[in-house]
Amino acid sequence: MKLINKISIWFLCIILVITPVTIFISHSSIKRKITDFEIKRLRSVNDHVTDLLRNGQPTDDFLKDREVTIVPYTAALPSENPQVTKRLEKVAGMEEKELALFVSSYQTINGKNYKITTHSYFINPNEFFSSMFITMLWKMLLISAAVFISARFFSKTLFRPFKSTLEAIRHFNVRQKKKLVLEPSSTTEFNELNGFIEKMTSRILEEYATAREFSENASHELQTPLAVLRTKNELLTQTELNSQQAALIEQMQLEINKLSNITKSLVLLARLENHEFNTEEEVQFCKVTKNVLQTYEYWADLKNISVTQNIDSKVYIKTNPTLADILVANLMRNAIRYNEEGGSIHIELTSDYFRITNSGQPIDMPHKDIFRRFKKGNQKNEGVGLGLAIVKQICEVCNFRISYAFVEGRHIFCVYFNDQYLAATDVIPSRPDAQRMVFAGSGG
Amino acid sequence: MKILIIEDNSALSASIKEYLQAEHFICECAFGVDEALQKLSVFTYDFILLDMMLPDGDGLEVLRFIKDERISSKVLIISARNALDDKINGLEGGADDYITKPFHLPELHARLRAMYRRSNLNGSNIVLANEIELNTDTIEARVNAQLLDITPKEFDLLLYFVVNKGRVLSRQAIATHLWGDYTDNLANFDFIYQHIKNLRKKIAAADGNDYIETVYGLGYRFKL
Repeated sequence: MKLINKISIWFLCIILVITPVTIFISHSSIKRKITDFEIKRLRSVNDHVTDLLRNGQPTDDFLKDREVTIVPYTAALPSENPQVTKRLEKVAGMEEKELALFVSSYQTINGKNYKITTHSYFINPNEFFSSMFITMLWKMLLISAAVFISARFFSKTLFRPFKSTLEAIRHFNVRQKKKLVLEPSSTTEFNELNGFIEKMTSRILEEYATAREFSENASHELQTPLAVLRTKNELLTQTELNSQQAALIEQMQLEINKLSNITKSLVLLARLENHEFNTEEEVQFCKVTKNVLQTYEYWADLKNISVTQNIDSKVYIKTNPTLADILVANLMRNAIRYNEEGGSIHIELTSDYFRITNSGQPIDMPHKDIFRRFKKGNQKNEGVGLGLAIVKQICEVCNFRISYAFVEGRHIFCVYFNDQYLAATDVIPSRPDAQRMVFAGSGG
Repeated sequence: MKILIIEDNSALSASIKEYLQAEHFICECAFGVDEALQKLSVFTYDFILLDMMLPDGDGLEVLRFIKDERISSKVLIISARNALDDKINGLEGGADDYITKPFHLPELHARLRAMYRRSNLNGSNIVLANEIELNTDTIEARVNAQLLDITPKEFDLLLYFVVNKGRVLSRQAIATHLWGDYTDNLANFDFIYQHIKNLRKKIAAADGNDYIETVYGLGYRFKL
């Protein structure tokens, strides 16, 4: 529910409660006021009559237009003086009743007690109540309409700074290293919010810069000594060496190579975790796959591995070209490395998934560990053990899902490009491989 | 050929200098941006080797200076950051090629030679080694004027040998040259042996000499 609607409804609730209460209050106060005023007037008439009588002046003139009764009173004067009596009386020819008000003053004039009663008729105050009630209904209706209509109009201007802040946040990208600047608003709350968001995003940028700086520095600091090691080693190989020395140097070169690959892979992982790659490009995945296959043809041939493929044409996937290349290359390399002499690899690509299967020995570790760093299916293998960790990370960055299964002597890796497709295949229980599939990142 | 090596690590700088001097390059070293700019404003060089991360600034500053002063030297960037934006920035900034640390010295040398061939158009696309003639434009190899039927990879390999003749080339260096990053984690170098076997066969079929010798435990050497 929109904030403005919530506020409007709250406001209306208040109106609905408060207006009847105020109507009731004003009604009773008007009623009291009228009666009080009338009592006061009638009393003053009584007083005037009393004065006239006391002074022995004629009262006829004064009493001519007024309804005053003067009766001698023999009993003791009542404590309540003057006495006020209210009575509703039916008036002939009218449906509504009138309010009759009697004010009786007890006075002692020249040693005699008199009861002077003045009365008047006026409209019963309860009669205005109905008209006030109708006014109230109109008032509430008009206020409600005004609130709802003006809320529609004002919310646009009132929430414009908020909307522009939302829009700015939506377009904020930590990779662009651009500070978020929000326009100032006349609303204190929005300014506070903007200030908070600006502070938060600049802190995110700083943190991101630190993380990035670290991965940059780490790679620089490690790659330079490695470059020194490798070049010195190469200079050494240009000198006269006996076979024992040559063997030692070769061993060293292999380790330098490994070290270089590890640092490169770790830096790539760090960069993936920092989301330093733009994954919004439309990449022709079929082309990437074919290029990688061509590159690895030779490796496959060396192991007499037959490669078959079923690649749909014009498969465009939203990802990053470099990452797509690394993803396919790592899986392909894996399929060759963990294959057997004379084995086979089959590759399938549709707009929904990329699947690579290869023959090979089952791995001797829990399947869910396969995507973990430095985990190798076969510990004596030359690999570094980061290939699949990188694959998993790329899938996370690109919003792909990757699964692994070992079915009928074949390793099956499948990258799903969209969740809808995966959800659809998940509900097919008859597929034996689906039951043995493990997904990277889920439960592992 | 004269080259300026801009690299802050003196050990690496010395390695490069030693290797290139043996290939008849005249080498000078600069260890920071200021020193590099001073040298560039006084002397002229055919090549500039540029590390992108220097203690007193960024390699891009040097690139800007080269562009502004219209210095015609060919620039090869060395980067440890191995980040794509570095590569793009460098190449857009006027660099001619790009190599990442840790590189192989024969690779560095081959890149410089390739840059040189690209810059001099007067027949320098022909690389000769006795009876072997390589045309880097058409990717054609001739032995005793007879055209060899070789794959682009084999041509690349032969060129790499000829350019680094007399040098021991390790299997890693050859693999990296031919396949670049694709060799990562595939530490099986049998395929190099296969390639070299095929190349030897093809050269022998054209009555060429077998110049490629196996250096036990280390790799191969093209010896004239």
